[in-house]
Amino acid sequence: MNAKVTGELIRLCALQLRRFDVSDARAAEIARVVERVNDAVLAAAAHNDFNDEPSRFAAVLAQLKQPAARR
Amino acid sequence: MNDDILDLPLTRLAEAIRKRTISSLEVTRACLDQAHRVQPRINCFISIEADAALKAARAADRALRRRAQIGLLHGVPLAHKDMYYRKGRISTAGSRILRDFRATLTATVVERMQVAGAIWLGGLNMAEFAANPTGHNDHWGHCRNPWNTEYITGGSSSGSAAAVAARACYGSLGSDTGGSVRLPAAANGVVGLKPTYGRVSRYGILPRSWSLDTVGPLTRTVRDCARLMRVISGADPNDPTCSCEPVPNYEKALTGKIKGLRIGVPLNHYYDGVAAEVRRCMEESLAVFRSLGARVVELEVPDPQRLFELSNAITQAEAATMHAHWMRVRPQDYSMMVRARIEPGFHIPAVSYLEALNARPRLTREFVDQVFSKIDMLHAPVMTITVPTLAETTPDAPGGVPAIIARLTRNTRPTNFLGIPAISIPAGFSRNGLPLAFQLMARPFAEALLLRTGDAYQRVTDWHQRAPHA
Repeated sequence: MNAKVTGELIRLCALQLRRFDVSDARAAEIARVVERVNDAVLAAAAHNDFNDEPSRFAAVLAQLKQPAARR
Repeated sequence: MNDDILDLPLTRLAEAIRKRTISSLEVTRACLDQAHRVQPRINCFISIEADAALKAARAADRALRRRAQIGLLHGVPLAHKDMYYRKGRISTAGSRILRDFRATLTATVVERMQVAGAIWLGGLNMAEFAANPTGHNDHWGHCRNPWNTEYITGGSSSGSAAAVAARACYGSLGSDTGGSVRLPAAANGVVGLKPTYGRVSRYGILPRSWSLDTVGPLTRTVRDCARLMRVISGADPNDPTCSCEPVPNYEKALTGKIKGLRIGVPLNHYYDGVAAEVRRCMEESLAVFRSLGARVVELEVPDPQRLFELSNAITQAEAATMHAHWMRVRPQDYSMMVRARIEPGFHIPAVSYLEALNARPRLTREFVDQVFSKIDMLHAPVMTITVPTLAETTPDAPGGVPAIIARLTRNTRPTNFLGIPAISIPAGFSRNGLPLAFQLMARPFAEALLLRTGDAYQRVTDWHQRAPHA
C-alpha cells in the first residue's frame, strides 16, 4: 500500500489535532514535505529492532570513537 | 597599526597579551572600532557592548600587571551568536519574539569563556531562531557577506562568520544543527568546527533541535579553533547529553604530521550537481594532502540522502514542539521562511519522530563501520555550489523554502544525524571572489584528528590569511 499524504489530511489534522487553520494551498505544500520525510522514516524503521531506544545513541558514539592507537 | 593587530590569529594575540606586548584595552578598542566600521556594510552585530567590553579589558590588563593567574583567552575580544544566555542580559536569537528576552541563567560555555578570560564584545546576528542556512533575517536585517555584500553569509551562524572574517573579533561561538557553523564558515572564508554531539555542553543555549544541536567555534585558523575547543569542551552536570569523554589538549595534537593518513573521497551523493569551480577546488585541496603524505581513497558511503530526510524528521518535530505556543498565538511575529520550516513538524507523527531517533544508533554504527574502517576521514565540499546571492536565496512563497534549504545543506545535514565531528576549512575562491571550502568528517570524538589535518593544510596554504578588506 502506498497512500499519498494529502493536503486534506494536513488541513484536518491541523484543525482537529492542533486547533489551527491551514489554507488548502499551504496544506498541499506541507503534505509534500511530510510525505517525503515520513517515507524515509518508514523505510528506515523497517529495520529497527524491538529493543531500540533513542538514548542508545550516546553510548554508540562513545563505542565508535577511534581506538587510542590510531588517534 | 590597528589592521596589523586585527590580522593576528587569536592564539598569537593571546600570547602577546600575556607577554604584555599588546594590552587587552588596545586590542578591544581596535575590535570595537572595526566593528563600528563594518557594521553599516555587513550588519554582523545585533548588539555591541562597548562600555562593558572596555571595562573588562582594563580589568584584564590590571590582572596582568599584578601577575594574577590567567586563562587561555585572557583579554581576547570575542563575540558570539546572539543565543548564548547570560543571566540578566538580553539574548534575542535573531527573533522578534525574543527581542526583550532576558536570560535567567548563564550558559556553561559562556562561563567557561569567562573563566578563561575572554572579553565579550557583543551579540552577533544570526538566522531567526537558528532556523535557516542563508543568513537572511527579516527582523534585524540580513547579515551580508564581507567579501561581497550582495552575497549570502550562510547561516544560521551568519554574524559569527562575517564578524570573524571582517576582523571585528578574533573568534566566535556558533551552533550547528544542520550545517549552521560549517556553511557560514565556508561562505566567509573562516574555519568552522561542528563537534561530536555531546562534546560541548548545550546548557543555556537557545535550542533549535535538542537531538542534533552542537556548539562550535568559528575562527581564522585551525589552531585558534583548537584553543576555543579546549576551553569549551567537556562534561557538564547541567547537560545530561554532554559526554564524559576526556578532553584532549587539541593544540598539542597540531603536529603538522599527516603522513599515512587515509583521506576518503565519496563517490556518491556529495558531488551530485557540483559546480566545476567547487570540484576544481576540492581536487586542488586533495593534491595538497597528497603532497603532505596522505593517501586519497575513493569509496562509496551509505546513502546520505536517507540521513538527510531522517534528520529533517527530527528537526521538524522538535522545532514544532518548542515553537508550538508562539506559532499559535504569535504566528505573525515569525518570518515567512522560519514559519514555513516549522509548520511541517506539526504533521510528523510522534511514532515517525521516535522511529527516526531509534534508527539513529544503528545507522550511525553502519556508516562509521563501513566508512571509517577504510579511511581516517572523509573529504567533501561543504556546498556543491558557489556562494549564492541574497536575491537567489530569497523565497517568493513558503513552498519555495524546502528547495533552498536542501540545496545548501545537502552535504552538511547528514553529519548532524550521525553525530560525528566535521570541520570546514577555507580552500580558495570562486571567479567572483567568494570563498570556497572543503569539510573533513571523522569518527565520533576525533576532533583532534580533524584539527591536526586542517592545521597541516593551513601550514602550507594561505587561504585563511586572506581578509575581505585586503
